[in-house]
Amino acid sequence: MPPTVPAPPPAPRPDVAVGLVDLTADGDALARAEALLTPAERARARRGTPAVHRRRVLLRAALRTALAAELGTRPERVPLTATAAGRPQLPAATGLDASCSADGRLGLVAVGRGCRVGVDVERVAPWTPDVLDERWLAGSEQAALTALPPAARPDAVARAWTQKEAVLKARGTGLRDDPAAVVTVVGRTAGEVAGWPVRDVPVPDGWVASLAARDEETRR
Amino acid sequence: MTLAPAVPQLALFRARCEEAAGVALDAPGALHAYSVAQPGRFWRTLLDWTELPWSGSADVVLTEGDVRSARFFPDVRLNYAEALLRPLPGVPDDAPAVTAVHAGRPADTLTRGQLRAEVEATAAALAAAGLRAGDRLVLVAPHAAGTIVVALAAAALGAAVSTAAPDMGAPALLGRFEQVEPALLVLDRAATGEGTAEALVAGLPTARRLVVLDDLPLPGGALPADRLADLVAGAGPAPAWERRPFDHPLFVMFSSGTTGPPKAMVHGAGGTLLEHVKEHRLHGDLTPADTLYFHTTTAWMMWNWQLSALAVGAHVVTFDGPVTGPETLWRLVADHGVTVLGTSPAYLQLCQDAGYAPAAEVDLSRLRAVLSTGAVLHDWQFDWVAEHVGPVPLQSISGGTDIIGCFVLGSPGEPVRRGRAQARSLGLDVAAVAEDGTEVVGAVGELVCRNPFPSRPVGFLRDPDGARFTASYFAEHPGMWTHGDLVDIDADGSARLHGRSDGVLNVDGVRIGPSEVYAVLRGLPEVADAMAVEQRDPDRPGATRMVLLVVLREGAALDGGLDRTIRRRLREQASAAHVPALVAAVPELPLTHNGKRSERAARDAVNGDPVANASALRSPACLEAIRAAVAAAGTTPADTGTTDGDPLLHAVTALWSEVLRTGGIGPDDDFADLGGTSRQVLSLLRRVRLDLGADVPLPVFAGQPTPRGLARAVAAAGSPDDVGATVLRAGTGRPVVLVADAWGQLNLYAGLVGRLATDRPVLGLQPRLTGPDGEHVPIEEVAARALERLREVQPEGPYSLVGYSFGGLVATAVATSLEAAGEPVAWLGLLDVRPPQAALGPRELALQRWTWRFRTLRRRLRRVPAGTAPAPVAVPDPELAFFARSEAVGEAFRPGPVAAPVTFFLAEGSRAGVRGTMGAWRRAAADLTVVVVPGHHGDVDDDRVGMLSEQHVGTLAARVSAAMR
Repeated sequence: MPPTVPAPPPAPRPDVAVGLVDLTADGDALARAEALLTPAERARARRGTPAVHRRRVLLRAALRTALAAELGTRPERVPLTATAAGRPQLPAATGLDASCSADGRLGLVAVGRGCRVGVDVERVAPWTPDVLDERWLAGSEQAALTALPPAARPDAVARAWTQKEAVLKARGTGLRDDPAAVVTVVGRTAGEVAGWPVRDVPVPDGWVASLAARDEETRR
Repeated sequence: MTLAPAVPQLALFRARCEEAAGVALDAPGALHAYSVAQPGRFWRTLLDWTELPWSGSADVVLTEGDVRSARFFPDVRLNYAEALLRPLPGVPDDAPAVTAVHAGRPADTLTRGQLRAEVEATAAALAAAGLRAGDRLVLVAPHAAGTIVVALAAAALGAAVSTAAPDMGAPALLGRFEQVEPALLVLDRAATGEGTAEALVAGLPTARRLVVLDDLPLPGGALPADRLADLVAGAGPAPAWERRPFDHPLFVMFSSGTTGPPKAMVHGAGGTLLEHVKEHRLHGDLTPADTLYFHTTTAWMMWNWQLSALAVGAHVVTFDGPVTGPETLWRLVADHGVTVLGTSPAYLQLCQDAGYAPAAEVDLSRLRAVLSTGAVLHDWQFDWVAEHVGPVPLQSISGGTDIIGCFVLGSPGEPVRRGRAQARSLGLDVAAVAEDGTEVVGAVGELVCRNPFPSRPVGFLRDPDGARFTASYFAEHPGMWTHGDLVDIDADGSARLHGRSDGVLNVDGVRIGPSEVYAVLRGLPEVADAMAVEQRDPDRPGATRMVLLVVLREGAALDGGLDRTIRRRLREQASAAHVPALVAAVPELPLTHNGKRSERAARDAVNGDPVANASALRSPACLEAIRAAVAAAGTTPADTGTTDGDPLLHAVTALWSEVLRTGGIGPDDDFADLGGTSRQVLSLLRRVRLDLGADVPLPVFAGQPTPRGLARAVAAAGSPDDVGATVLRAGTGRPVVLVADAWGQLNLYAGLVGRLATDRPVLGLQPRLTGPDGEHVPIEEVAARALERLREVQPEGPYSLVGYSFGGLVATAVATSLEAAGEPVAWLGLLDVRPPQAALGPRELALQRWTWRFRTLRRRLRRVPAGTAPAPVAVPDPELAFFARSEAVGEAFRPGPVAAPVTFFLAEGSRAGVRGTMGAWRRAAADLTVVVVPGHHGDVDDDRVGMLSEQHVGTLAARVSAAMR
């Protein structure tokens, strides 16, 4: 069993801080986290089912806390907003970018200093050929997956997904872009995907997480 | 007119505390934090700063113990009446102390000197009538000056006073005063109902004497009776006003319990005085320049609270008349120069509802603050006061009879946040806590006070071992005073009350105030009453769920429709967390004998537990009905009926349930709000393709991620609808625009979109192909719709357009229209767009006919597999028919001129088909380049590998990318 409060993973890049979030926190932690949110953030959290409410509160509070450490202010004072598509947004003057993700009881937040970031974490699920029919895998990826021994496929599927999502989140489009058009190299834990350097983030067994990060300058 | 001090007394006191503490306390919340962290220093500094008269030693501020047992200032002695009536520096004896306002006769005013003299004389009279220290006196009289005089006279002698309003009925009065066992009974019979005096005399056998304030004939009977005026006239010299211990009983107050008789709470002189002076001076900034009117009766603690304002030197106004309309209190304010008005949310609402604008009607120029308490004060009432009363702070204050003071109240000099009480009471560690006693900030929790405070009751009467006292406040969270209110306290210390906490729900860690549920249900005419209670979830050990009990109006039935409406309303107007797991119709809700709702009894009933307080209920039989109704509701299948009878919505909702592994999904629930992940979206859309045969693109789903939205998208996929411009791929710069095919779909472009080597955004246009009657409209009309959508996302050229087959015809028509309107078109890409027949000359037509003949032949061969008899009646495939009609419309199109460069991507397999007909395109497009790409056209009935297939789309994308402008 992975620990309930995982230690922060080593940062995969010096200009990116990543943190794991324990989404099983008790009611006390939930209340403390909620106090760090803006009314709009609380309202959005509240729209969800109780489990979603809990996830949104804890994840957002963790993101605010991570950003507060960068900015030297209090979490509730971090000028964090969201784009229309829901991506975390910070004033350009801060030089910071943020991304977060969660699956099950594990959350992940990433803060980029002077670089644009996207993270995604996914629980590894048993292999099913249905994924080949979900249209998010490019032909080359499908071929590579089916060529893998069955035991290696669950991790590979989860990694392909998190790498695509990390890139789409870094781009800021999310699933408005076709994930099949973001082509990964199946089984590779670090490398370039659709123009973005992507690599694994260490997470407890049973999860896979990826980070896409690129200097702001090279984007333009 | 006297000016209020420029610096609030709070600031002066803070400076005093800073001196005592040696630290700065000017940061927000710092003084409160200090007052709680250093109770010894805080309360001692307060006692000294107030300059209240006391003797003895204040070295021991509070004794060991928690909020239940600690005692304050055990060695301090004081006299409440002395503290209120002492000469104050800067306040002359001829300053007004009490102005009694009456209905229908002029007001009368007592100066501080006159009031002191009257109290002295009355104390002498009451002493002569046998009242001694430690006795209890019952005083039934209106909110008037005489009542104040008697109460202070009794307090001066060390007797405890228990007051009540004369309009209360004899049974209610006896229910309270039986426990008081008074030595003396003081009545104003002019104000009480007929027979009340007799009933009280008969029902309170401990009374040794009756004193009346009125001029009515004295009653006969065994109990000695006197007029107060006569006693005063005959009394000797005034006895000395002895100072007595801090906890010496001053008032006996009452609070109704959910079970048993009202609780008779004894409040001590020192705690009451110190708390009130603290609240008046620090939280209300009350000074001798103020005139205070708090609308209350003598049966409510606000009467006692207002009385203590005399200790500050403020002028107190009393009123014994009725409120006859919205203007009553505002006129009183204007007529008597009231500076601080205390009222209730109900009265403010009455004024608002009546359309009364006080500032426009009367002179409110002296009014500097409005206080409100007694119920939840709503946001809009702050707006109303600002607009119609003036720029004065509206201070929401809240506390209770039980502490004869406030937990949350004003904070002078600081802005008021709409809807909120400004601050927590200094010295009181007030917090909102979760069920386990941990503090919650910014969320609704149970209001508690976690440290000892001086105005805690000294004890209850008829509670010798303190068991009832302990059970009333300390059972739920040991070591804390649990008040029974719901509150949210923000990080800034401001607070909002949310009503009583009986029956608050905690479902999966989310606290839900039932009042939020009831507020939504009030909008449903079928529901007369409702009660939301928490039930142990039979399917998930350790978890709980919400059960909603509804009492329906005559003629209404809890059928599927009403059940759905209830759930939908709650989901839309509250949140998904407010939707109950179960709705059960019951004939009646459990009410106590005095009409209070008992959520606890209902909760026990729905859980099948024995009901603890069944004897306290008006009709215990309702519990059995609740048990039966919940059991019956629980056996009906899980909620799958929120689909309003729409089979497609029903099917879509069922797929959501499967993918999300949850039930109770409403048609307007957001996928993400229900916990759905991006991956699950793709699983869902796959299931939609497989089960419903509809191809819903991700961006379309993302635009309306609800079952209703998906059902609409599925319907649109079946009969293409105008869904406007869709971002197929984000990017920067001028978009590349793809136009939907003869199915009205963009899916076939997916491979191409992913492979285009460009940073530019790729948009899809899906104009509706049919008119309101379902019939296809001409290409020009389709193009006009597409153009309209295009202009919404790209208002100005140059435009780049691409279309395959039928989509190419629409793209051509769009380009022609744009150029006709003077807009530049950068480029038009045609993906194997066979020229329409209408554009062909006779020779071209003849050539094409051969190709058609060949196609028709192939179709026939496919339709009738060998060895199968042809179906006697052809069953038309609606989708194929749609496609065929699109093609027919396409063939009727006559392309207009296009000046822009056009690239024609000719599928190798179509070469033969278009041979000799390309002239039609050259006639329309002046600048035409033909690029041959591998693959076939890729028709519905063409199983040869198409140019857009996985196999060839890479090459196509490369060629398109190269040609694109």
